[in-house]
Amino acid sequence: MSETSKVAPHSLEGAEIATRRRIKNSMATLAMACAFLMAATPLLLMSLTVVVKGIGVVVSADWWSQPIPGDVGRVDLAGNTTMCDLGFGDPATCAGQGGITTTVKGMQPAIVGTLLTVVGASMLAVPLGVMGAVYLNEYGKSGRIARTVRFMTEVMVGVPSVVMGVFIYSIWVVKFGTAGKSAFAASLALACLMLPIIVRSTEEMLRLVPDSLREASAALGTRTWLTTIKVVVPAAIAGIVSGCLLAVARAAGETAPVVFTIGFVTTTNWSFSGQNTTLSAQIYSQLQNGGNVATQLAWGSAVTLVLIVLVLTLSARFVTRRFALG
Amino acid sequence: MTDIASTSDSLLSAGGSHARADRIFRLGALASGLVVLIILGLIVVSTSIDAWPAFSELGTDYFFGTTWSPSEGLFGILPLVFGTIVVSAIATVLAVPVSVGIALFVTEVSTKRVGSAVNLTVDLLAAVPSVVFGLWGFYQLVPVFQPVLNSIAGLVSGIPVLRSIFGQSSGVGFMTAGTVLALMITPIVTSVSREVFMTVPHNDRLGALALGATRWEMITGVVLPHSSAGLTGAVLLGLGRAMGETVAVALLIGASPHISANLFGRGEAMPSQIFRSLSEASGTFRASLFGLGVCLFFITVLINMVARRVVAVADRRLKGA
Amino acid sequence: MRASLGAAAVIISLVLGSTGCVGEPASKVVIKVDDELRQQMVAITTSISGGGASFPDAYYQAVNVDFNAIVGSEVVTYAKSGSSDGRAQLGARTLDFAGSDSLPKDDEKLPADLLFFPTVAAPITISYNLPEVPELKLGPETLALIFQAELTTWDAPEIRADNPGVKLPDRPIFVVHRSDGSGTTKNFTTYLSSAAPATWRLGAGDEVSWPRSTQGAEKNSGVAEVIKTTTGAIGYADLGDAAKAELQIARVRNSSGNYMLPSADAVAEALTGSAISPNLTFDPLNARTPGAYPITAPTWILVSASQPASAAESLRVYLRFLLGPAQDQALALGYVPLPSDLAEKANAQIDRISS
Repeated sequence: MSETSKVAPHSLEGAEIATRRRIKNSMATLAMACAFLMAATPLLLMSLTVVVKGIGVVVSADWWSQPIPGDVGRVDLAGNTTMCDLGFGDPATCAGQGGITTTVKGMQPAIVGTLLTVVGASMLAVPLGVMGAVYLNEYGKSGRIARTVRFMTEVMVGVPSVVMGVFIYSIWVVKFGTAGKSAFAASLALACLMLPIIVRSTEEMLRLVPDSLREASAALGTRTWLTTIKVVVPAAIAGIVSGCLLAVARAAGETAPVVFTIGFVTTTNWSFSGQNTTLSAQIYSQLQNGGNVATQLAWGSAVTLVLIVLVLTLSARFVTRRFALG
Repeated sequence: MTDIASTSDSLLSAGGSHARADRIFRLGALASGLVVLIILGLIVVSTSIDAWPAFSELGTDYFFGTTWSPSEGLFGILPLVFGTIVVSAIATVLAVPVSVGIALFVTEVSTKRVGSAVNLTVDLLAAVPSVVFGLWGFYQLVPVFQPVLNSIAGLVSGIPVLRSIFGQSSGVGFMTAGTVLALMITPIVTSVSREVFMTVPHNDRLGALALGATRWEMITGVVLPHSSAGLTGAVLLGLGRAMGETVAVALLIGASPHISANLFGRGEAMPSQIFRSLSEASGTFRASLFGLGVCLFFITVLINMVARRVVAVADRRLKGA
Repeated sequence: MRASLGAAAVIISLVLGSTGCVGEPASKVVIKVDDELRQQMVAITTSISGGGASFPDAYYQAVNVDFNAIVGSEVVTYAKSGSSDGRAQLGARTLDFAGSDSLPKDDEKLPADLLFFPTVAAPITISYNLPEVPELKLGPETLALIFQAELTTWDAPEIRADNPGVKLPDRPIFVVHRSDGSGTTKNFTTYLSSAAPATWRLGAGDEVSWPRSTQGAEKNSGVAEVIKTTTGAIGYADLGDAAKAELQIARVRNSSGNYMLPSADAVAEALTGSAISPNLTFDPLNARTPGAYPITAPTWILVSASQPASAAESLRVYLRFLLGPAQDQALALGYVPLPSDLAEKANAQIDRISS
């Protein structure tokens, strides 16, 4: 859009421009570049820290296949000098003669839980979101209902995730007690979070589909619903998929709505019912446990979570890129 | 296009049943669209019902009480509202200049290639989960912030007003939480600002440059005045996002609900308090936490409505111009 | 993995000094169980869930890992959520047993036939972060002043008086306390009320109104983390969390005037010096024995005596395990096992749980 504007200043910056103005201009340009560095540097530092601290546990097969160790406390205290000095601790370990000093660092339950909740939330939110967007763009257009729904969708995007958690806690956990805490309950909360994002991004993509396609279809006597299914949605599918992937990425990283609704387990639960756990919940609770092993588990969970989110985000970009080129 | 051909074939053979199918499809789509309204409605009704004991029993003590102390049965939410506002204000103040700078850099300065690299970086920043910001802040930033904030506190210790605003710090508190929060809202403020700047008519830019303006003069003379309403919207959207952020703030704010002028000191925010206590609370305490959820919902919805309106109005005006 | 744990054939008693597990894979069952109890454990069908006090959490978690490993499935869970929460959930019957470090208040809704099972005891440490002061001594009055935020720097005269000859820095004091309702807070404030009655004005309870300049943190581990990351901080936390965070630990003056570290012996001495009520509640705080560590906290498991048939058997077997063989694990985790007479009384009470 602005190729010419980028060339223009250089050609106009002649000797007649006062030095002070030129310096001011350069300073401003520098400040803008610095603004970028101020955002990029923390991101770089954070990524480095997370990878350096967490990669150690993640590269082992145990991480992906074993339950979360429940005896982290015992291992963290094995051979602890403070404990030994005070007459606590296991005598053999304190004397440096073995004892249980390591544990199998697994995180499979949280990885499975994260995938379950995200898949559950997508199964709820994607069909509803895409259909909602179809209504807005293909049927409702600028009618009163569509305008209201569109505006409320924008508003709902801004509703904090913790409120979604409180909401599901209120309609689900309060009603069903601890038994209600499950991957399904967490999926409900995440679906509430994803729904408006999907509606918005899908509607934007549907809007990009040229009307000439719809008209061509209509000219052949096709009803709107068939046009939508066979022409409009396929034409926008890459954009829709990319929007959904971004929504999934956002949901996968959420902690607040999950912690209220999912409970806590240390062994893998493949079911939507019964308590479960996720990577984000593990980061929070391991950080609260404190101690060496727990901290390693927290950083490892962070690496795994960032990896999942990164894959989703980058595939969304990739899909968009393909769409744009096609 | 082959799709259309085959569609019309099937249509010719199917006949009138398509009218009904179209109606059903339309109803299904409408129902899906209405789900958004239903959920919003349910959020208000369900959480309000659970919060009702707090509203009715405590009344004005709830909304205007200045002590939040569950152990003593005191549930005045003002300290939490205060904490939420202070933290989001710090975040907004820090994030807006940076975000606007990045947006200007992308739209006005950089080449397309550099611009897309910058956009990618900002998108990646947006993708980092809140809890990872919290984890990083807790282990890496807090130990760095404590001496830095305390040396600032030391520098201003002789100056009356600044002394109470920039007081002693233990590393966690409003400023630490606000700084991390600034990083978290930078992507949304950047992307909205970027869109706003892109709506500035290209000819106006060229006009300013043709009159001999430097790029910076063009930005201050043309781009920013054109964008003021849109930027207000961007700032409000960032503020709304900041007020609702939970985990990172919960880990970094210090869990100490009180009203204090010390920006380096500890406090507590509404979402953090809900997050910390909801699953363990009962009775009036739980009702009060649901009440916080209701308040948070209405505050953020209000801010978002205003922000969307402002952006939409600005958009229409510019497109009309 | 599950299968090898479930078989639990390899039972290694580290506590008895065996070093047989050197080089063995981790997560082995480390508690020695006799055949009779093991048969009862294997026969368990009903899961039970407990929760509450976080003070004994590390002990219960480790014990549960072994218990579940021998049973062969996850039949016992314990979720730390604070003593008050545990009792509330027991009252609401959402938990089968509650962990609590403090005795219930009169107005709490709890089952009428409540049984108290003491499990272990442990010191509450006064942990601090002052690299330049390797050994810190504090009397109860000084502690009261510090935690009331009446002393603001480490070189205050009261602290100097407790530490003659020690060079104290003029750093500000950051007081860290629990932000959630906690039996640890209750025990610590109860101790201050009884040891420094003239100075301590904040009362005693699961939560008290801490001065504004103090900092709250969640759970013992949260308090320990904040102390670890904050130079000049002081707070109270259980030994396990303080040790994990490698915190410095202060000596506290007991009622006989001795400055005691929270050692295993000093805690045991506090237990032997306290009187046990018929319902097995007792108060080891500020014990009179000369070698006692004064801030020694008890912890109980609370169970309703009348249970559904299936849960009753699970609870009985679990408590037999917890009060029997699992006691050997206590020291390794920073807790002190019950003295033998108290353990006997607690074991005798198990059979009162019936359906």
